Amino acid sequence: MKPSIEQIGNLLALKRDERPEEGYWGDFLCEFHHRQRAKVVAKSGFSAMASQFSEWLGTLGSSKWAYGAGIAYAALTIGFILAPRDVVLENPSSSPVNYQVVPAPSPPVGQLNQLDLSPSTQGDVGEQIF
Amino acid sequence: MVDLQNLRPKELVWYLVIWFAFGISSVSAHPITVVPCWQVTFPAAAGGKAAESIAVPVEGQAMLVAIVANGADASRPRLLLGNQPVATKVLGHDPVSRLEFLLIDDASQHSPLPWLREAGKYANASLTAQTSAGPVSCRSTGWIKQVGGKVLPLALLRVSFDRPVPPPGTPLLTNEGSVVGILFQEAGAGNTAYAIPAEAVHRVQQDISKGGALVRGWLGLSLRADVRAPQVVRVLPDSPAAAAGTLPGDVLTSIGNRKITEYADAANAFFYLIPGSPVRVKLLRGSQPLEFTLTPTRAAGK
Repeated sequence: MKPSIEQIGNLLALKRDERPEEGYWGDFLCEFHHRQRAKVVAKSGFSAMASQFSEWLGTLGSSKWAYGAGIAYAALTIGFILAPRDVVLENPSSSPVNYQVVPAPSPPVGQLNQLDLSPSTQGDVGEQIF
Repeated sequence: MVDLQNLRPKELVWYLVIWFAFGISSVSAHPITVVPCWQVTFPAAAGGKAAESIAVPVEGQAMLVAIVANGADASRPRLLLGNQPVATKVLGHDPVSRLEFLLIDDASQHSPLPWLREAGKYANASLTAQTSAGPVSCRSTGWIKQVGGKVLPLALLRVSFDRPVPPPGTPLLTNEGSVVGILFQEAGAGNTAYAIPAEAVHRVQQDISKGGALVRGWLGLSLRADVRAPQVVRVLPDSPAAAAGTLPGDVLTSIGNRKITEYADAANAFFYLIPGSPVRVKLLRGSQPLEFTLTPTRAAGK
């Protein structure tokens, strides 16, 4: 049964009365953005990237194996390059020194003529006749 | 613990044997030696200071030997026996070794200890210092031929104590009670001291008993004190060494029964030369070992 124009008019009038109150859509948009940001923060850092990456792989189909092998090869190459190796220290080239270390002269050995061991006593140095 | 009440006869015998052996070893390690304590004081010489020494009876005459420290007047000793003054006379004083020999009038008071001829066997040994307060354990730890940059005229024994060093002159005895040497002075580090060996005392006593003074022997060899090798630098003309054929450059290896490895050994060996008494001198000329018999003469002015 085809509605009459009067019925349509009444229906439109009823729909006009059901329209949300003013500011509803603004609040709805704010709430929507807020929840999106909260979701992104909850999946922060590496997990977010991993999930994004897995989602991206899922979209690739059968070619994902070729991409995976390439990424693994790149990771191995980077690891090999960046791995620490034994540090080889090169000896600095020696250069001649212009001065000599002269040892301090030792006190001369002397011959005591008497058993006098006081520190001030000096022995006879040089030739000794026996 | 040992249950003496239930001890079986066989066990009892073993315990008695062990205790007997322990007692014997203790007595033999510390012989009971009754030594009258002689002490001598020397007044200060001009500009010097007074000194004290223990005096030790020596074999032979009624004679004591003591140490006269530098700065003391050796000519005026005051002898005490157990704090009682005793009349004495100076027989002789040797300024090289600082040994002084004193005669005592009353020979009955003279009770000499047995002296070793040489101390070499006891250069590293447990000894006992016979002090006025009783025996004190000590240990000889080798020879001292040089102190700092000064070569000694005769080698001394180094002695270590585990308590303060007894006074100069204190005799050092073997476990058998023979005198190895007498203390000369503290070494200045820890409880160590230097001691004059028995052979030096005998050497000086021999000359002082004859003539009141030590007479050094002379060979006419010249060595350099600052050269460690015992190499002859010069041979004096008309000397015993020149007469025997010793040459400059010869290296001494032994004099008498004393091995020579360095200059200080030679200086020590020359101290024991006796004028008129032949001595075997071994040396190296290049790589050739030679041996001479030299008769020292009386050193001029000594």
